[in-house]
Amino acid sequence: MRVRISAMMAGIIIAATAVVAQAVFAFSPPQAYGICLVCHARDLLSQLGRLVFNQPFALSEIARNGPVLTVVGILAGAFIGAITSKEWKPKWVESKTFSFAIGFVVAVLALIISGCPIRLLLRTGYGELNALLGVIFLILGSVAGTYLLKRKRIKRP
Amino acid sequence: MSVGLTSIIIGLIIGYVAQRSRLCLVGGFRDYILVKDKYLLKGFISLLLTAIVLFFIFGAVFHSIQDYPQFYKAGNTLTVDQIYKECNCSRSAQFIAPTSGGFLVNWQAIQFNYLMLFTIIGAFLIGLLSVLGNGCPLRQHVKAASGNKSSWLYLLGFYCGIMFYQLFLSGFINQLFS
Repeated sequence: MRVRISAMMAGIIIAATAVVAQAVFAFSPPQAYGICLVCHARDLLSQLGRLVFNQPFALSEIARNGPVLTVVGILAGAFIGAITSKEWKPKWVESKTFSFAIGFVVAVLALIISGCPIRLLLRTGYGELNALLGVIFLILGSVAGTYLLKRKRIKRP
Repeated sequence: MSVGLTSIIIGLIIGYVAQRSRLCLVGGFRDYILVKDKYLLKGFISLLLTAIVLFFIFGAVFHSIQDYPQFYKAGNTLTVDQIYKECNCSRSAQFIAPTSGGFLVNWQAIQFNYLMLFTIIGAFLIGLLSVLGNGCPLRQHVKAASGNKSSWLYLLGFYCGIMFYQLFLSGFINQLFS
């Protein structure tokens, strides 16, 4: 069976889930924290590090009450979606060291900003001026990246 | 509800929806410039607008969100806040009430600090590198769950980057921003 969801609907559902989680279910002391891939992963790794190594890693205030398992949920939900519509195809697509290096640099940059791109959009809705600046420069950066990509393709024989 | 249960339900919903619709936030601009396709751009704009509208409804009408700027109330001023010392979750420079200068933003009270500089440079680099690496972080998580083995290496680099930040950079960045 193949359920189709359009991108506009997906945007509305994701934003509504994140805002309702903060307003109704009290996901609160870091504000606008409903969905963020890098912040929740940092919380999960810090909790594991505290259990295993007994070192004081930094945690956010909501993570002192229980384990933050959003990343596990995202991987599980996408896996269910891929299996039920027969889109599971394990294969190597891009170059290996390139993907590793880009993942490393994007994670460090996203933690300095304290938001992956989704959390920047949520913080803009919350009314924060730094996040509005971040969204504008995210758009400019992706446009610049596309022009770099175009030049690389034309030069290749 | 406890934190663990809420977070797993949020993750399941978002993961399923993002896989079925192949949503990518930086892919919208890449597709529009290369092949004039507006499908992913609609997802980006709808996420932004829904966040603004729902935060307004829940914050200004129902008052169920803490520290939401109540700019409709006259005589109410908010100041530029400090950043949380421990984990760099920022809470700074909200829109300020219109009692002293400006319509929605009090322009004189905003100071240029290191957080603004790093936000500008960092967001630009995130946009650039995500387009070169074939996806924003959400799209790479979804691709990894669909079997793309290169995205497994992307996720490995992602978690190594987080551990590197926690061990070596965290204290330095907190001191720089306070």
